[in-house]
Amino acid sequence: MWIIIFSLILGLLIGNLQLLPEYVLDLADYLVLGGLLLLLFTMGLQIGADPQIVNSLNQIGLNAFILALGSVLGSIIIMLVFELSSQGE
Amino acid sequence: MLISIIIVIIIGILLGHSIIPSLWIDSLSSLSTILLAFLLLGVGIDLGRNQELLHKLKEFGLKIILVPIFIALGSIIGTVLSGKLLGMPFNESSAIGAGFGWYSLSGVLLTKIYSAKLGALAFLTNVFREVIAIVLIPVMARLGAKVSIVAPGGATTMDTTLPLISKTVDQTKIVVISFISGAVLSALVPILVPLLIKL
Repeated sequence: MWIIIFSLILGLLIGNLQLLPEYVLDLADYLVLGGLLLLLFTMGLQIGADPQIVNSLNQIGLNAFILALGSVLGSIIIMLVFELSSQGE
Repeated sequence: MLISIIIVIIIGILLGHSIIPSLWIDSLSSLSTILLAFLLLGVGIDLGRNQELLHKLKEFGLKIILVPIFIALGSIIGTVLSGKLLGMPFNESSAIGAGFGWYSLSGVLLTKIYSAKLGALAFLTNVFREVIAIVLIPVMARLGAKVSIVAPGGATTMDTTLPLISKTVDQTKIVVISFISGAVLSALVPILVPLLIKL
């Protein structure tokens, strides 16, 4: 898990301090895209190999919708309070 | 992008379900730690080299940082409360909320460090979040929302929902805030998701 945060911070430093030439930095986009697609593929494999997940996809979908509503509502409510309280500034 | 992502996952699910032996899958997923490290290196470089972001931050002052912080808090509190309704433990629901709509990254992170089941749930939750945001942004604009229009999009307001916000809102200031907020939230996803799931 620490490797995740370490890689992120290392990337932030490399990108911000321009430690690598521009054309190497341009490759970062492909690194992200390629890495994501491969990881999503292995995520698919792991989901497919687990009959318990495949059988409960409907339930997972419904739970996902409820959680998504919760996250959207929570962020809107807090931001509305912030917006109204900082009005007139 | 979403279409190609969904196709890749469905092909993975079908192959994992039928053809590929589970031994291979195990070794593939142990390889994925290295993949994940490279991915986050790329995410970091992309965010870090965005010089415009720092300039804008200085221009608008530090109060702007409150926007992504409040959106992060609201998202996590929201999923924790709705997760309670579903009987989910705090670490799972809060980590899913910390995806902030970045479905691909939160999905693979949680698959890798926790379980494929929670990864699938995080992926779908954050896909739905983006879809809900796309529906809500024009509605909120019509109702006269100002900075709060940035809230539903979460991390996506720096890229996928940014054009929608700039089309529906006529203040350029809000478009800039939207970009800054999305970038800060994007940087928080790979930090908060692993931290919250370990709670």
